[in-house]
Amino acid sequence: MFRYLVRRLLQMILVFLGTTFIVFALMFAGGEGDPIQNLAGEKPVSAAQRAQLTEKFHLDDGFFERYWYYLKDLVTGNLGESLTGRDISTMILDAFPATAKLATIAILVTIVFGVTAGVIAGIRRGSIFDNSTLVLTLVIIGIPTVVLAPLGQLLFGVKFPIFPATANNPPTWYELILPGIVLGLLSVATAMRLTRASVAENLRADFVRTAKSKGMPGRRVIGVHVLRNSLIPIVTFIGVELGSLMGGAIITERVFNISGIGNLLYKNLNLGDAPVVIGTVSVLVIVFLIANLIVDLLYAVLDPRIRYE
Amino acid sequence: MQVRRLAAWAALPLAVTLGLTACGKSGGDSGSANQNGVVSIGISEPQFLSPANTSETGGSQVLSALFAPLVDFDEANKPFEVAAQEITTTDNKTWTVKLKDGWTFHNGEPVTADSYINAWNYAAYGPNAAKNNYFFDKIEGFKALNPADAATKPETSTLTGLKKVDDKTFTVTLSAPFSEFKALLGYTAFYPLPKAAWESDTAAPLVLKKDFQEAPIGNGPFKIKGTWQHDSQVEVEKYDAFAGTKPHIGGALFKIYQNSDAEYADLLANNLDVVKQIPTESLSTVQGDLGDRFQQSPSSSFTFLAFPTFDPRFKDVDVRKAISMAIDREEIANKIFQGSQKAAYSFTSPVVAGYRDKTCGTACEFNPTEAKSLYEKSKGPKELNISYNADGPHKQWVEATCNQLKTNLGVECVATPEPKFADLLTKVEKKEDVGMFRLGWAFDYPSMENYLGPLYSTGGSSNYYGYSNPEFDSLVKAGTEAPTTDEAIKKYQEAEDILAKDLPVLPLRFGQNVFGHSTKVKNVAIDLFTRVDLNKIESVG
Repeated sequence: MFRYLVRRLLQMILVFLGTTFIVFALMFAGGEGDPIQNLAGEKPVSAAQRAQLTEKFHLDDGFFERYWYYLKDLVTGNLGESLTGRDISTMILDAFPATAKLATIAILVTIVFGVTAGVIAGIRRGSIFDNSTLVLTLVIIGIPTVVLAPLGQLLFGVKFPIFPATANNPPTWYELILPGIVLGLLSVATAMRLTRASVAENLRADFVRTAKSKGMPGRRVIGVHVLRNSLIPIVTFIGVELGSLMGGAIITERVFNISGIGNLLYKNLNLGDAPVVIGTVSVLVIVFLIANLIVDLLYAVLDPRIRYE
Repeated sequence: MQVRRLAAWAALPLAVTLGLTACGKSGGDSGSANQNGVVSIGISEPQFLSPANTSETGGSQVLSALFAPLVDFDEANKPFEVAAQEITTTDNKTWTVKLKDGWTFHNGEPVTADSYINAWNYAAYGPNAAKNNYFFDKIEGFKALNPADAATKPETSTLTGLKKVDDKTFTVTLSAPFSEFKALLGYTAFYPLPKAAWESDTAAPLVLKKDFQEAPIGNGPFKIKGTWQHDSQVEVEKYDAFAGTKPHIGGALFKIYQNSDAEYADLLANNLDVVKQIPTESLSTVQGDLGDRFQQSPSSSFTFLAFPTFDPRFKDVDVRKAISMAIDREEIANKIFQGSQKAAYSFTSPVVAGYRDKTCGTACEFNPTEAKSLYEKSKGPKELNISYNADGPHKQWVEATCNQLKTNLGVECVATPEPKFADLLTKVEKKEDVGMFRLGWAFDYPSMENYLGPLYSTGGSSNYYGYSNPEFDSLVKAGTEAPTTDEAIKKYQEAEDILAKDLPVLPLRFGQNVFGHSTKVKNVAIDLFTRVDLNKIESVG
């Protein structure tokens, strides 16, 4: 177990270096455009001013030189300053709680609706419930967020103001319920179908037949034996989902005015503020890697036959 | 399941009643004003909150609450004194600014001539890389503070053109006569800063405290409450010792929005009082949503199509004229912009003194038959293209313009996107084939000169297409040296008439502020710099 952890952590360093290098290269290759002009909008920038800003942000240094500066700062835990002079670590720390809360609600929605419906549908295959949830989830998965999010906002935030139309910063849990549901609904369909298939398969497994023939009550057969064995693919899915939700949901966050990671990234990509984009992505890579590691470790908890060497 | 359904049915009538009561309250602009009311105004996250750096509308809205300018603009868009007692000159070159007595900063410090001189020196000092640095380029000594090579440090850190006479008076010497200098002083860049803003107010060069902009101390009608909460809000409250005209509200809450759709949704949900720019997609329903709480006023923005002078296809003025006549400006303004922009038939904006309608004459009037025959007679190119930057909302109208050219001139026309504005400029600078390209302009100070100078003068800062006409240049110069505003305007108008003959660009549209407000405020007006006028707005009930 310990050796496995060390090996995984070492791998993570490599993955981290690789991904940040790619992001850095992409921003450098054109993603940042002309940050000085972007900062000035469409107003003209004088030559003297341009020279000063270029000097200040090392904009004319070579690629490897700038990458080296970045790595050196990163090792000391310093993410640097944005082009407007704000501390990037503070910006990320300010934005993170909103995204984390939103992701939590979304995941809860996915689990409560997706997994529950999946289990029921798996047990009662071919029933009305099975077919109707299938159609319903397909419809929802067919609607893109760009439609679902503003529609939800219009219906439940403006026309029938059950929930706040937009969130403040920092957002309260209540303000995030509506966006959380919208976001969670998108993965409900996948979670439900995964659960359904997995439950249906395990219901036919030998150990279930044995348990049934032993005279074990049906509730216990499904609750303990079937469900636990069906959870592995679902946990994988939810773990990956949680990782990507932490990366911020750009559309949902923009529609509901949530000052989270998604908005932070979107705004600074538009501004060509490379230091902020690269800093944020670096943190996201780490979050994603950790989420994946936790998922892998959970396998052993769910299925004792899995051993880590 | 039963319980949930019951709850849903119970929630529905409740929601309906809430909606009804909200309707009941909206009696328009009636009701008594509440002197202590706080109004909420939607803004975007400011880039900076310091006079030297703030140029976008979000930041300047906040600064307009915290600071009072030397001059503001009246109904006729002419400057009048606010923090200044008087601003005088005899030769348009040396200007004497006398400040009003009794003005203080929010920390109690008196506003003196030094407050202005220090703030301006800081912004003009090249190594500070201030965004509003170029506003000071007309003051004597600017060049010495801004060496073209960033590696050389300027030898001095103060503008030689700024001289203190006494505590309340200072003189500004310009490097050349400039009749519009008083109007220029209305901009954000010319606000004063207190001693408390500097690390040390005797140091040279001056160093601005790093966290000053988190809670700026100004001389304006409102002082900041707490600090700037990034991506969230900035709150300001009435400054009781303010010596100028007092506003009618107790404070303002600037709520920061990530996008204008969310902002508009909050206005509809009655969580926000003022939206300065209603998103174009919502304009078709805005009348029903807001009724007479939806308003429009002209803004300084100006959209036009430029012809690069290096492209031989557009050398013939008749070709340019034919293209211009083939564009139906009204149709695009009404159909695509839902009236949020107005068709333009002049080269300067209607919000500046001296503007005349239709200076472009017949060349800008939609006349497809005339256009086609003129285009064929002058052997215009068979293929046209219009470049635009895809990071702005331009795709739709550029394509519509292209379609009009296709139909009316019988040519091929392609709308070519460039990822960002900077990419478009780079291509133009390298003289690559961009065809015609879109440009926009919003003034820095309300004067005809601020359109004629940067856009059409030889070497003008935004004259990317390279138009140059010595006669035009000398008329603009004569205007900037004219002894009175009226004489200056006369020269500018003569210069504008030359543009109508030369057609270096095609005027397309003038911008409009399309704004809306809640039932909790009245007298909402947007000023020339796209800011809600905090001196006029009132809180109801």
